[in-house]
Amino acid sequence: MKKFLVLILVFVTLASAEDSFDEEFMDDEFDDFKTEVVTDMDPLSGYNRVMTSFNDNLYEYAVFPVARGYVYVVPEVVRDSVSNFFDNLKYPVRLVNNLLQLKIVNALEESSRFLLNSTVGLLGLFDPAEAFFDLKEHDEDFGQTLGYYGVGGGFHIVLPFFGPSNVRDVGSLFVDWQVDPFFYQSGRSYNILTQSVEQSIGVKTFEYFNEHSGNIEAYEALKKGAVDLYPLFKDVYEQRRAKEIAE
Amino acid sequence: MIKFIINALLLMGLSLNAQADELTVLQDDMSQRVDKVIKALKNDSLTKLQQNRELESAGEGLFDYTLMAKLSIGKKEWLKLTLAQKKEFVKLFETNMKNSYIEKSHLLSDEQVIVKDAVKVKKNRIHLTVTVEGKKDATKLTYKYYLKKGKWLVFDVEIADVSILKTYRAQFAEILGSNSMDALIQKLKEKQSS
Repeated sequence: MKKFLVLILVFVTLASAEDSFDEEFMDDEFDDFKTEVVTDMDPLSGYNRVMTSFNDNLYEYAVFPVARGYVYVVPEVVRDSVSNFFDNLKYPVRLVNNLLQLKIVNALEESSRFLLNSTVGLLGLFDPAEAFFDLKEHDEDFGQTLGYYGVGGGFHIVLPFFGPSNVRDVGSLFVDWQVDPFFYQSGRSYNILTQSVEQSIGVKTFEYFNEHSGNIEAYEALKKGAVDLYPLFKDVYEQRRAKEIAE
Repeated sequence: MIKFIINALLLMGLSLNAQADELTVLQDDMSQRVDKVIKALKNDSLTKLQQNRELESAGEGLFDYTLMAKLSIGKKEWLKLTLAQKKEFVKLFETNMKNSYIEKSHLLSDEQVIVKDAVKVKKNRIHLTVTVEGKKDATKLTYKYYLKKGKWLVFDVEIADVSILKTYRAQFAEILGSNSMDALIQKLKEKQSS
């Protein structure tokens, strides 16, 4: 009789294992997914949702058409060089933040890159530092610096034009702008590459389109899979920032 | 004693070998899938629909959609569902995953896709890295496998360190925060028909 019971038990277990819908929920084994998602404090969610769809429309109907035209007219090599050029000149932002995080080796590597690319790389249009010397960029901004020292992101803010951000990272923009050579601020003694607010906005807009011209397809693909655009973009942003800070 | 040591060493060697084999099998399997994807994308004689069918078949048997669907809403929500709801949700989740996977695969047409190393991170977990090398930069994909009844299945993919399963969790938690499961199912249905 005992044997019979054991057999039945085995069969019952086997049968239930067949149907994975009724399988025991084994989330305990999946560390990352063990706990329920806590929808964190999101006081601006109403505004953020509106801004997400505003940006989406802006991208679809204004930014991407212009960017597509730009892609059509300007060859990829040139677009890459433009991107390299802007990137190279943001060296002060990366240098300062690498130093603030005491990443001395990275700061030295950044400096070598800047010297090489500004000279051999023809004012930063090319990136021989990575191509020939395997010197990699170490992108750091003040938001990452704060994150490095344990400052949390705070609640989420969707910026017009630029998309997802949070309190920490929005605040940090102003700090990074102080060492961004394209940023203009009247009254400061070191306005280096732009001489007026208009110039500054003009340059930034050009850079914006150049960068976005390469992201159209990726944005469309991400959007196609979205069930709800706002929490998707928000989560992608927060996951990426967490990773960038950990690096 | 010597015999014992030899035996132990042999066993260790064998198990190391078996482990290495396991990793190679997954790498080879992924390489074949990647080849199939690239071949379909480069084949201009195929219509987009035919390409999509090829892409879908390249991913066949790779993912455990049921587990992913479960993890995407979490235990508490899952246990509340009726069997019919569970089945419907899993089906819709699978379709959404597939469509989004196919859509993202189209981005690979001009890129070089390289299957890198597979690492056993735990007894029943393997992480397989694939890189997509563009002209300017490379994107890392991490396929996370778990062992289910002797078969390795993917339960999450990280694209540039962003977990796809986590993005589903964030979206579903947001929707379920103020709506019922039926509303989520409805949203997935609308998405499917759009």
